[in-house]
Amino acid sequence: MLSEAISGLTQVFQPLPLALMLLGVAIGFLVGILPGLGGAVTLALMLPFTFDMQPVEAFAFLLGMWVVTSTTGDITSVLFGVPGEATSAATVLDGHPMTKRGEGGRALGAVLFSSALGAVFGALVLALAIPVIRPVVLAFAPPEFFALTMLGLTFVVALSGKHLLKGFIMAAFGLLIALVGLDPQEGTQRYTFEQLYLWDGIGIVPLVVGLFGGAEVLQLMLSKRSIASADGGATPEASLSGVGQGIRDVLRHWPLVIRSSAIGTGVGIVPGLGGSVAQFMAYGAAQQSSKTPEMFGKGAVEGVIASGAVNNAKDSGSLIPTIGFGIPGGAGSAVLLSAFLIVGLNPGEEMLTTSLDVTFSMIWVTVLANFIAVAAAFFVLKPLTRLTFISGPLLVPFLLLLLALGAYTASNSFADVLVMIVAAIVGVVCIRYDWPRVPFLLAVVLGSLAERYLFLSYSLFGWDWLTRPIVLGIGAVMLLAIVGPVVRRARARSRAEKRPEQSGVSA
Amino acid sequence: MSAAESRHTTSPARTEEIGMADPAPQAPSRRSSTGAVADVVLGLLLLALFGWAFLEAADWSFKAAIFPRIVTGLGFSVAFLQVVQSLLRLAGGRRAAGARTPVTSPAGPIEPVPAESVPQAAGTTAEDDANEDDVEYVFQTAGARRWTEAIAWVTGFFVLLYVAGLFVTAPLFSVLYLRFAGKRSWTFCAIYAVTIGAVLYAAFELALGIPVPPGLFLD
Repeated sequence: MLSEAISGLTQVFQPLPLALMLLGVAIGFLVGILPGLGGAVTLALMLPFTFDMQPVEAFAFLLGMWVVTSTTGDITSVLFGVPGEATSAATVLDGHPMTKRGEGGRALGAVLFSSALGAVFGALVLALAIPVIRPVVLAFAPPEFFALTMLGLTFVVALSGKHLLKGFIMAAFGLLIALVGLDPQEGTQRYTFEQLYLWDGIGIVPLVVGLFGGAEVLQLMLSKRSIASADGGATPEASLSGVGQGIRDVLRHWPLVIRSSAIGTGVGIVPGLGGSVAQFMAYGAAQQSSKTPEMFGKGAVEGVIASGAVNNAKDSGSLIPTIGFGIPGGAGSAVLLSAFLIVGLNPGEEMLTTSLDVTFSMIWVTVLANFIAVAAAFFVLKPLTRLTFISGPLLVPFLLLLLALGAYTASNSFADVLVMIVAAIVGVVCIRYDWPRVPFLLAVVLGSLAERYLFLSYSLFGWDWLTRPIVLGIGAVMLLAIVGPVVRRARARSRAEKRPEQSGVSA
Repeated sequence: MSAAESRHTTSPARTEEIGMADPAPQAPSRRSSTGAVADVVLGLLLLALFGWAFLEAADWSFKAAIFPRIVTGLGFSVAFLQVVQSLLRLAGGRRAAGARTPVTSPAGPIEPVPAESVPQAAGTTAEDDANEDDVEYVFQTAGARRWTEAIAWVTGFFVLLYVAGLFVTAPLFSVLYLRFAGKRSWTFCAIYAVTIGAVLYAAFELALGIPVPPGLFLD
């Protein structure tokens, strides 16, 4: 394993992967700062450019970009109270009050440094997880993998919150979309409408680009304002001194860094939970263990440290199931999974045996990219924060072109652009009427895998595979994941009904 | 192939207009119930889709049809449940609204009500993602005019892209959009357009050699 680790590192340190990683870091840096443009969206937009790349190059580029967005998203959270990423929301709670108090520099120093440490922790866990999950993965047969794909879907659906049914429908819809094309066993045309383009199935890239990017562009067109409106009255020139003190704060609170990173990695491993949950879990834990919990929300540096560390650790955590089992934890890693398939890597056994060096190169990239981003952030903080005042309409033509190009280059056909447009409509309708998008995306990505595993299971074991112990165990977990939230909600509702006056509108 | 493609372009463009524009006229009237109505409508659409897909799979061989049958069968059942549930909720909501607040409930438009109901509608969805919420809020509150404008621009962009290709569309659309939607000066638009055209040309045509949408005339 050590030799693969070193081989992974040397592969990253070739000129081309290194250059691509720097490019990815630069893009991720900007995207992280621009609120509204998220990591998953950008990954989707950049996916088409990786078609001709080698695996290590592609992941240096994509991962470098992705892991950095959660670091730099914290910058605007601290300075303007506007999270650059959804996952940076917890940073606002204490980071922004610190800025108002004139301690913006200290808050930034703390959040950036703890982000870097969180990334290292996450990467370490990822590396250590490999020898642990390898025997598990090798012991798994198609039935177990099929059960796992279903488990991943169930988690994502169960976490679409109160819309359990909608989540299931969207997952089924996604699986249906994944079915389009020639069937893998006999070449029967399924839902192809006699269009040659549909024989290969619906491309994941145009779909992801439309589903996430389309809605984002439309939002900019509808709201027509600069992406961050500095309503708090904060200016980019807010005091940026005290960075060193922030770093010392982090070192002083090192147990907090480790605990928050552990929470981030742990939550990241569970598919579907994702960053929005992780940050507040770590934040809550930090508050509980603090000597001055009353300061939280008013500018406690511990709150900032916890939210910084958890963000970056969870990215590595979510890579564990993605690499090991091909089950992405959320939107970002779902897009990454499609990148695996594009560059011809099979998650699971292959990533842990023959392609182990690629896996290690990915781990190195998450660490290196974070360090580069944090170092760069300290140098170019002031000019970068002005970016948030770019007005929305300025980005619209550029982003529309990216959408079109991203879709078109998937197979050089205008049909891809149409797929992208339809996906964008689906995405917009989903947001407008509160239907979850992520189960849909995950189902499309997992659909063909799921069918292959199901078919293999059936041809190997008949229907007996349903009674294999691990399959039954996973089934039980799935059941719990569905029933648990329903029971909890029913209990909460009955409690609310006992006091009808207080919560009248909750229906 | 090209005939088939052009047929393709017209139909999604139309569905786009229908699908995206229909929130706009509904939105101002009754915000709390549009969500429920939309749930019923979308549920029925998906129900029909799953039903059709299930029947379609009937002709295929066992191997090709097993997974589709499972997926569409489950999808159909869940969509059915969802439609029933949201119909019940719709009926329940109407009844509750009638019982609880007799002052505001009569369907007639009472002036001060919308101001209250907007933050309510946003509040009910606030449990989800912080980022998503923002988008949701913009989509919910943008008026019919903004929606029409935005969709017109997007439709224009893709039609232009199909007809004239990337290297014409990029500068032309940039100038038009920034000038008329972004209210920028002509000089600014020109610089933006030239830059974006040059960058795209340099990147895709000269450096990467990746094909881009050529338009109808260069095909």
